[in-house]
Amino acid sequence: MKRRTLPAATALAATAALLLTACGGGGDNNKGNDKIAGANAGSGKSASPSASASSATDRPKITFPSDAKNVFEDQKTGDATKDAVLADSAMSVSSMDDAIFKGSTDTKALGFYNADKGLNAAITFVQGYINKNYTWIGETRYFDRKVTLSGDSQAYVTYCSDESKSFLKNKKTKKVDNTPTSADSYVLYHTSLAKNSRGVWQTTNIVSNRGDKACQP
Amino acid sequence: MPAIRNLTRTALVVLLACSSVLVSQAAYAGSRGGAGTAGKTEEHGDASDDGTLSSTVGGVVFDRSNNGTGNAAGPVTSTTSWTPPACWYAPKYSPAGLKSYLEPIWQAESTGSEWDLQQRNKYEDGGKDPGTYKDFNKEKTGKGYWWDSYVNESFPPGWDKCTKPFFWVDKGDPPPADIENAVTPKVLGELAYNEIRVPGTKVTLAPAGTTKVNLPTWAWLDGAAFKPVSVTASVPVLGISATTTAEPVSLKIEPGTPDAQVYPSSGVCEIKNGKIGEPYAKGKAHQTPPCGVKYLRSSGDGTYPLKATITWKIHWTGTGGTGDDLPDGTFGATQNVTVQEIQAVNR
Repeated sequence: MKRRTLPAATALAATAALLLTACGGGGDNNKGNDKIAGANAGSGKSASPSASASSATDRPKITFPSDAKNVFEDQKTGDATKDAVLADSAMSVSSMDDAIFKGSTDTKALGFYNADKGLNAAITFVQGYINKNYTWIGETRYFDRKVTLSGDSQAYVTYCSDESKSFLKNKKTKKVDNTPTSADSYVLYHTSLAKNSRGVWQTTNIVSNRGDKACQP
Repeated sequence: MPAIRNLTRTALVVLLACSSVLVSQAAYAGSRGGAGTAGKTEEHGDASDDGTLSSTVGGVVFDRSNNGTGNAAGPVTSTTSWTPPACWYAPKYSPAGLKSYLEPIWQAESTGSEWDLQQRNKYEDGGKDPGTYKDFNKEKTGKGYWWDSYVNESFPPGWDKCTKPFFWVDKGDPPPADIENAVTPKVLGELAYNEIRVPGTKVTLAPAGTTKVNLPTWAWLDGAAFKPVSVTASVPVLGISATTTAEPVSLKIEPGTPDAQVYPSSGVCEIKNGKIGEPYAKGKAHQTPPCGVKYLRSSGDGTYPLKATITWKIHWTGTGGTGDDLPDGTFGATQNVTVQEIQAVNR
């Protein structure tokens, strides 16, 4: 699918979102839009997830549109395996967003980073966006990311998301939903991951609780 | 176009907000909940409009109205290695519901065509071989459900172990015996165990707050607060339920210092005539308390952390006259006790 030139409304919406980001960021000089702020964008303090991930060479490329960005905190634990798990967990999240942006559940990345119940949940989630003509803009921050290893090839990652700076946008009408920030802007996720034969930590199960106490600011 | 106008206004407002540092940004902030959440727990019953709820028949429902209340209330810990199920299976989909859940997944190329075909053969194009179905068992609509896994939302170890594929159970039939934690009255009783909340363990002491060295201090539980509590778990679409009840049976006192003596000497006060411990009354000062503590040393400027743990006896009763005991559970709390040197003995 070819991306059309941004119409005025989109541009305005994007501007609004970027301004919001700038506002919220206070003094940080994270100039959001001068690099492609996509799946690989960390919070500026460490390497991109794919760089630290295990050595599978044919990883599908994920590129975000310039008006949307994921920020993953807690990338370095001091343990290489845990860091690889966290990196692939971040890629699972970004693979769902990638599919949302592409408006398709047929992407390579979805099946690459998710499997079993995790893949079912990912497809159902993305399909929910597609069915309602939704995409999103702004910044989604993932924080309190914690990893537990269970043997050599199983791991658990829990994390919170902060959607207070991200917005649903209708792809047809270009209207951006201005939902006020509430407890529901924060979501707790529990995921299990399994290392596959290619060395990729696939998310095999994901359960979430929107508005969970544990993730409130 | 109103949408553009609104956006223009939004952008302007945002510009204004930026120029004035004092303006809160909360009013312009966001959330993406309206489009659903990855891995949303269907059991939750949130008014989410992503379609998941409408297609599900909703597993286990808990009635917690007879639980212990208050900020200090909490869950019991099993006294054995047994723990309530971390995940379980219960009805989730009607035939049409499973179809609307699975078809978009099979259509997605990300799942791989081999798996898609295998799945189709099992749920859609089967029917002849055991364990395969025709049209998601459409013919049996209303006569049973597709069961799937649910997760204990406190995510104990093992929450992700219910990985069996969807399976069909006719209404009135028990679930397959080889599937662990497929809901039955017994499993419901175990799930209700997990939802039990007992009152905080505040022991009444006499003298209250500050006691004296070598003075037998009486301890007892407020009978009104420590009554049995219960939780009922049910599966409405199956018409089965179980009620799990916890009753206090004993109180264990740990004085918080080795320089103390407890009554009785075992440190465990059993329930007697429905009461644990005996309220102190005037004239009993020279008696040995049936339940209590005697500190042998002053706490100085500090306090001793007295730990009081109540053991609750727990059992379930369920549909069809079923029922059994479950492992005892404990819940404790610490309270600070000040112990002073005796200045004068006036009794």
